Amino acid sequence: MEEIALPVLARAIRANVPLYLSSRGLEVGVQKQTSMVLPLKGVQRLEIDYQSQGIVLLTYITVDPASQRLPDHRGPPYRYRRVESGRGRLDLDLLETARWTPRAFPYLLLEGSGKFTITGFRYRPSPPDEASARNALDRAVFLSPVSIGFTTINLLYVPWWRVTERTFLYDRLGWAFVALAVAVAAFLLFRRRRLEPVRSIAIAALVVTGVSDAVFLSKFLPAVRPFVRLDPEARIRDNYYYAPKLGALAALARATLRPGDRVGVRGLGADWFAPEVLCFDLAPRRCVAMTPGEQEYLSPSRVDRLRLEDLDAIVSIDSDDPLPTGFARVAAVSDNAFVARRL
Amino acid sequence: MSFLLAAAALVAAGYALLRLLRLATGRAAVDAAVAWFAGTGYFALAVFVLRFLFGLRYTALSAAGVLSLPVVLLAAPWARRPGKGASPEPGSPPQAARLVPRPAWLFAPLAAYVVFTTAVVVLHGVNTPTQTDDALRVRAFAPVLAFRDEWGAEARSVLVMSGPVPTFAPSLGWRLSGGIDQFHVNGSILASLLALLVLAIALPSARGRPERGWLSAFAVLSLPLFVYHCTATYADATLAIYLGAAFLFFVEFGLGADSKDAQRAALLLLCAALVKREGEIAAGAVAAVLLAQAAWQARRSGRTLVGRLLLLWLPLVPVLAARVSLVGLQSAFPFLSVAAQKAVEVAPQVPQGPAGPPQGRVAAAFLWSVFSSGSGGIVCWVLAAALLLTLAGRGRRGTAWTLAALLLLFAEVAVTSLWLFPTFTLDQSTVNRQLLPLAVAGALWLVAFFDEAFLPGTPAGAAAAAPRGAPASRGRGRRDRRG
Repeated sequence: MEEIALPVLARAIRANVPLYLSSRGLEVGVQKQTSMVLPLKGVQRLEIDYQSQGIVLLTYITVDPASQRLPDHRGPPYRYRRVESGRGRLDLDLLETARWTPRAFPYLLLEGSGKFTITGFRYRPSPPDEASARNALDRAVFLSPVSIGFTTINLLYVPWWRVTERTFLYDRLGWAFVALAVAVAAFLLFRRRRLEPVRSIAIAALVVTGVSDAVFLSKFLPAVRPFVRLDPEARIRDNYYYAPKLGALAALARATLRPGDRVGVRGLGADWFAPEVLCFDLAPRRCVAMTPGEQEYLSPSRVDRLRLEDLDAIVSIDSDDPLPTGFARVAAVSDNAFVARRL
Repeated sequence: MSFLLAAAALVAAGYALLRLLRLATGRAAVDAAVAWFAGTGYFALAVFVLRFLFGLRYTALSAAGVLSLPVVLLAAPWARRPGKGASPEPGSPPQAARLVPRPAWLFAPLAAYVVFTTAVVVLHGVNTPTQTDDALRVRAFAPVLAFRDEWGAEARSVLVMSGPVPTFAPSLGWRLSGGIDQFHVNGSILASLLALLVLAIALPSARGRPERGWLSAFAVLSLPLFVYHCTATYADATLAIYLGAAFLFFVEFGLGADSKDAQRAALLLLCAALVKREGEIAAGAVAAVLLAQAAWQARRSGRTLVGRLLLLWLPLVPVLAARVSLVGLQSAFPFLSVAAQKAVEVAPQVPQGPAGPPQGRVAAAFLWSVFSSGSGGIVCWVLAAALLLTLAGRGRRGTAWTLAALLLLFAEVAVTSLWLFPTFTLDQSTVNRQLLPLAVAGALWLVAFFDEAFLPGTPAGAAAAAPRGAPASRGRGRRDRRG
């Protein structure tokens, strides 16, 4: 790994917010979405020492300058890390991202509310020869864990065998199954002097399924949270894996609002996710998404329709709009994630 | 706690129903698992019909009344006369129940995988709040609407999309306790998974074949996308689970020809038909083959079984009537509507609309989902091989009907993916989920298919286990057949 001095890094980073270099490190304020493009072409891995306050989610993708559009950072494979408060180290394998190329630059997105201070920064450059770089990419993609996101429900992961050759693991396993079945059949024919195709296929299926399961578990287990947590409120607060601030706000709103309250939820722009999650978490209260510019607000699946004057409370996350007259904050996760009630 | 109470009530109602229908097996584990499916299906069906055909509100009292009805009926004198209740296990006299599979060196790791993966799935599933779009809007939202019991046009549409079982079963605990805990939705799906696994293991074990049981559980848990889906609150896993439970009895019916197994399969298919809009199509395909097999066998044993199966499916009529009354005829059968629309589009005299995606690309995407996506592990590869063996006359007669049901299921998914909704196949947004019921049923079928050839305690297995040099029975290939 090669190290970059923080002053050098501070000068080279392109960010959508000002960065401050202090004695503590390179300080980044996190409000809504803070994006940073790092001037490190083709790097494979980043190691970031940090000190963090508040709720911070770090998403990492790679951006090829030849591409006309910024890729959807939440698209598969959605690579994110929840940054725990305090000191820590992040080890980010950029080869696991969707569009890594030797020409691509790292793009980091910090979401939440708080402060993220980089106290040390190292990277691993791409190997000079192309074959090594391709092998490293193939190996990283093959071993990369499942990352649970919005579209995981449609496809768990793209099971690449060698991504650089666009070959798939389950094609390989399928043909391995066929070859093994033939081999076992030939072996049994040789040993027992009879053809046993059903047994041969059964043995091959069992062996190859075992391999498939081993691969599956190796990719699935890093993504799951198999611990016992009896309190449902704690599960809501802590287990929105890719939206920690939203989980904290949902738990706070559930604790703050009365059962009969009619609630409006505001998100950032056209964000559908936060309003739908919050309305779901606040059920059975009547709850609508406060779409800017609309006179009548709708709930998920349009089951409820409420106007501003109907609302008893507003739950707001990352919204740019001012709080309507007659409402005041009563509880907050951060400056831009709070619960307000009608006065 | 309220979820556990609700689950216990559903199982009790389901078990009473099984006893009333004389479909209990007398094996505690098997009956408890089937009772979960039967109880949730019965409760959802009854509440749905009472609410939307008869206008009876869904309250704690009405829910308790529905649940207690089978228990009360079971206590009636006529229900306790000899012959009611548990029927003897068909495999019991010749094959006593055996719980431990052999050989241990093979089955210990398989059992460890089953236990470990199940524990991971249950814990992760219980820990994970609903956080996917369709679950937030429909699948996990429908029970919330049931709790509120206010059914405007949009709420009715959500209910029809979700189906009665995923709507009413998770809401029971809320209805009885008076408050919503969203994790009951997760709990219902995970309880269904546990019931399927218990049934998969206990049913063959009760008939002297624990090897088939553990292999079935292993096969089901070797379907990566299915395993993940059990931790999310979508309903695709639920449909696959209910259909898989029915398939287990369908397979048993094929192997043992016990009419009670056919009836149990029919009962569970009825429950599967109440999951999602797609449930009745998937369950209907399997039910059609089950009915055909029953009719085929009725040539020898009379026609009573066909009539019983049809009687078991009779409750679907008021469900369909209630659904039509809820959303109208066209929205009640959306797939028929889309198919009719597509059929009109391809008629030569009708001007063509905007061109859809190229069929070649859609077919390639569909084949990728089946064989290369890994969503179903390698089950489709093995199914293809087993199909070839069957065509070559190496299969077992007892699994032929269930294979026909699988092929019909596959045809259904193919029609939906290639013709009705090709765009969703091309972008991989629904096709892999649609394949889940087929993958689960296929995995269970494969284990039954390989059972005789692979497992000890069978003619083929005994020959394989014989000391080297011992004379092999002649005509081994033909012995793979079993009527």
